[in-house]
Amino acid sequence: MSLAGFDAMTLASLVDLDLRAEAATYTPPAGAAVDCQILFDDEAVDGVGEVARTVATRRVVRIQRAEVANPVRGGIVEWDSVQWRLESLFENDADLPAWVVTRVRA
Amino acid sequence: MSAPDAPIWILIQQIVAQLAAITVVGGYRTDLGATVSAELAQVHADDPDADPPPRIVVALDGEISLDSVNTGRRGRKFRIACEAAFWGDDQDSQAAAHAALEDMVSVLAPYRQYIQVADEVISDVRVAGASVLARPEGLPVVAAVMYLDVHMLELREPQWTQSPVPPP
Repeated sequence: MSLAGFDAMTLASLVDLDLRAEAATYTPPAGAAVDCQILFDDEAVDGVGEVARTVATRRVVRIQRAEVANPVRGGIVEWDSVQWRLESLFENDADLPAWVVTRVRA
Repeated sequence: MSAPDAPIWILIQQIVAQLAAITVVGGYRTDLGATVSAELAQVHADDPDADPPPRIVVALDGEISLDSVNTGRRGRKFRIACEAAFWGDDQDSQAAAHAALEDMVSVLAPYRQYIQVADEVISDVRVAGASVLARPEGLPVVAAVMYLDVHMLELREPQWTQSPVPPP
């Protein structure tokens, strides 16, 4: 089994178990949405402000290249009816690239 | 009878009241005036029970320096920060930040004003500067801050007292 195949199998299992993975959709800036599975890589609270901080959750997610060959900045991933915009590439992994995502306000 | 509020707190409340005028209906670019406060509580933007952005917080920024050497009247110099936080990301944060700064500066025009905060205390308030704060990547919130330099002066005549002369 290839490494990509092992990643896909593991990710599918995590989605089934609802363990730090979700079924989602990815929509490129110009194009149609595709189904995919994402892995939550990192989650932390960060903030902005000098006198009164406003904090929010900052997330890093991984997307399988087998499902989304070339995710790009500005693309939208959606899970649990919430949209997140791909902001910056965190790790350019060959099979599971990690992206910092920003929550899109409704 | 309640004790009087401190002059600096009264001034902060007056600035809060002025900033509350920032509404789109009132001719401004944003509705930041809807949530202006002087409370320093940290807000979690994901918390549905908290007051989410947009909001402005008005607060003392840094220390108060006492200034009574030359005039004999008690004076205080300090800086007040008016910090606006609002939704934004890597797509639209610059436009929103400049709209917020323009609104905050405009509502306090003329840029220099004298605000009486007690019977014999007056404040010279001047817009000293403004900046857009760096947004950590992945954060859906942007902040912009306007700084006011304040010189607060008591008008009453100084009460000169002579230091006790130490016995020979």
